[in-house]
Amino acid sequence: MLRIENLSKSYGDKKAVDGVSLHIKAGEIYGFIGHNGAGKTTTLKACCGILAFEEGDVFVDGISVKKDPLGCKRKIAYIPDNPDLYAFMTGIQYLDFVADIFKVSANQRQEKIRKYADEFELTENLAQPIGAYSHGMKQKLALVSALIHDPKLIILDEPFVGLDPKAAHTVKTLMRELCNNGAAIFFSTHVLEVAEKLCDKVAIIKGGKLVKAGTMDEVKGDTSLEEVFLESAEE
Amino acid sequence: MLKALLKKQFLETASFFFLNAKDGKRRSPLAILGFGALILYGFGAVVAMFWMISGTLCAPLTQSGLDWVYFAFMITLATSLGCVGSVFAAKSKLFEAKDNDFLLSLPVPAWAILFTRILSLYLLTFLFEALVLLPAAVRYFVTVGFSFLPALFQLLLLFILPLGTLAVCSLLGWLIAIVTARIRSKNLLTVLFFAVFMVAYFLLVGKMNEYLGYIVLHGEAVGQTIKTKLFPFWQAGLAALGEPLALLVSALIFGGLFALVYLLLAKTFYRVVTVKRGEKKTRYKERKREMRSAFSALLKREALRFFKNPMIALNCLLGSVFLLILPVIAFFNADFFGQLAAAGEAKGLLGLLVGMIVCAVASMNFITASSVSLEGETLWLVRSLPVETKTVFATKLSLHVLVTAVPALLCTLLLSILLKLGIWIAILIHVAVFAFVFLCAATGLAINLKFPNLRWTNEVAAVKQSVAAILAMVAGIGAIALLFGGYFLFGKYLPAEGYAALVSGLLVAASVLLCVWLGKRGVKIFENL
Repeated sequence: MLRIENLSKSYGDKKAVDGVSLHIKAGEIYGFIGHNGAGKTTTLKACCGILAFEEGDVFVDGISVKKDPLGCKRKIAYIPDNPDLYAFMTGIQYLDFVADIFKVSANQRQEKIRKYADEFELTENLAQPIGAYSHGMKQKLALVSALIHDPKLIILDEPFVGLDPKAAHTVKTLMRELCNNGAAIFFSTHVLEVAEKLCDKVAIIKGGKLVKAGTMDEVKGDTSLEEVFLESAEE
Repeated sequence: MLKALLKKQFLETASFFFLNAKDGKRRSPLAILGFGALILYGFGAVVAMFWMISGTLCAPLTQSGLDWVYFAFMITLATSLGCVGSVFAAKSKLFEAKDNDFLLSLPVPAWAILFTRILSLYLLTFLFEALVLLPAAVRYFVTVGFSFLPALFQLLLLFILPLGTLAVCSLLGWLIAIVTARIRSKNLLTVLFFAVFMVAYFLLVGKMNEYLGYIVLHGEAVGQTIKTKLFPFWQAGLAALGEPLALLVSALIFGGLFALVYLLLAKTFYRVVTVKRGEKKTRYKERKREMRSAFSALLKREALRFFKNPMIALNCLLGSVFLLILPVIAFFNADFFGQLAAAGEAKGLLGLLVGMIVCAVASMNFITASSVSLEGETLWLVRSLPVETKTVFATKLSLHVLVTAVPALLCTLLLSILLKLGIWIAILIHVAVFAFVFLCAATGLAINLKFPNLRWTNEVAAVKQSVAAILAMVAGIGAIALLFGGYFLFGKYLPAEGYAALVSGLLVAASVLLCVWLGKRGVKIFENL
């Protein structure tokens, strides 16, 4: 579903991502971990076509992000670590806006909004302006909007930040449910326990380079993901 | 502690000048020079205006021995300009700063936080008042000759007078902050205040020549009014001539007023910044959803962005408001326009004049010039969604053209009927007005792409403190000047209809070129923001 081939991105002289290659299949939850400034967000942004890169390519369901960014974006849902949404819209106006862009039919969007907004206990706040939402509510709204068009690939940057325990549990359950239905999820996190329990595969990035990648068992072996991560950070 | 706060305040103020609002990085020396030149240009224009006003008043009043009336009036103007500069900043700078929670959590007394903020506001007021008082003083000494004591006292007044202005503005800001913290329609109240202020301001500016003429002719009577009704300005006027007692009285009045207001604000600061009444909660009721095209979804997004916040709407759509008022004014001055309409052979020229006036007013709309900046931190959204950047541009241009061209064309039509313009000149100026509005929209977008401010903390700042909006305004004025200048240069070779057709053609050509640029270079700039 997502194939990253030899991706490199520099900011001036600094190489933020250096020759990263990854392959995420449909039905997989792929965790992406690394310390602050390791290159996680840059990689995620490059994957969804909002950041130009110098070398390599990214393919979403076989479509090149470089050659057909719009084609890729139609299959993706992306949520950044701090989802700044349109404060001048109400929650429902925002969901309608995203649904319109993805050409989601009236019936389908109604059904999705009902399902996911209820699951995140957001329904009664949908008429409120987003400017009045808390961080957690914005995160929930961003998640509902991400799921409204049945994306094939969901890219999430730190999806659990700001969520209450119940919402975090809902997200984890939904992630597994979506992958069981054939979607793929690529997400970054600093919560290693969550990554360990949730992910089928994991990659560790350090200084823009992948230091470990593979199935959870391949990466952590008999130890914990935290130990592996700390070891790789010290190397 | 106070030193640390002052340093923070200084860095915050200086960041406007030295830091790039687009990425938060330091501006290059060339950019600082360019930005400085732009600010100097703006200041220069204001100084030039007050230099002319002082020129109208100085000689007649000083020759009549009414030197103090001259200064009292110029001080009144300086205070008014100081108010314009500070009154809108007072509430946000003093009570709504983004670091309120942080500073209140530190072991810092409220009076110290207020002091550093009020100091930066004082500098702003000082700057605005200096733009009037300096040319007024120079004009005075050029007219009557230089003398040391008045010069020294005028310098002292330059520092004393802003205290009074600041006291009034801070008090107004304090009152608005208290009221808006307790009501739900915050924006409505702010807009109401803004609208009243703007109407008063435009009335004053519109009648300025009349007032100046009156002062020149009736200096004595004006002086008597100032003496009896505006005591502080009388004393300040006398102080400017070097009277020590008047200077002392002025210092006591302006300084004392400031001290009282400062004490009041310091005493209530904590309560004012922490009182907040929540928004009224509207419960969501499910109803049948509708599907619309990506273009109309994006257009709705643009419209919501501009109309949801009345302050943004007022700042960006002032031209549309005036375009709707213009025919009404014309209607109530029907006699004057009737005389103009009767001016047979000058009908063509009259048509051109109508077109230019409508264009000048239409150029006061800055929708596209702020539309990129207003994306702010939400830029990731439109970049991650499957929409062409060209479609995003098209919706920005469409909103500008819709809300400007409709009232502009309506205004042109009504004026054409009122002035009984010929059919051809009327048609041609409609075409020219539409082409001008489109060119303004495209120019605003291009300028905002080159000078975006994506790191604002308050969206109104992205509109008001925007290099792009200033440049768009300068470009608009420049274009109007070109239209006027062009007629004086080439008008004699062409009939009015010919000139209107030529201008329309040039405007369309310029618009096409700019659209090509937006479609190629503009798209790249937007996608790399």
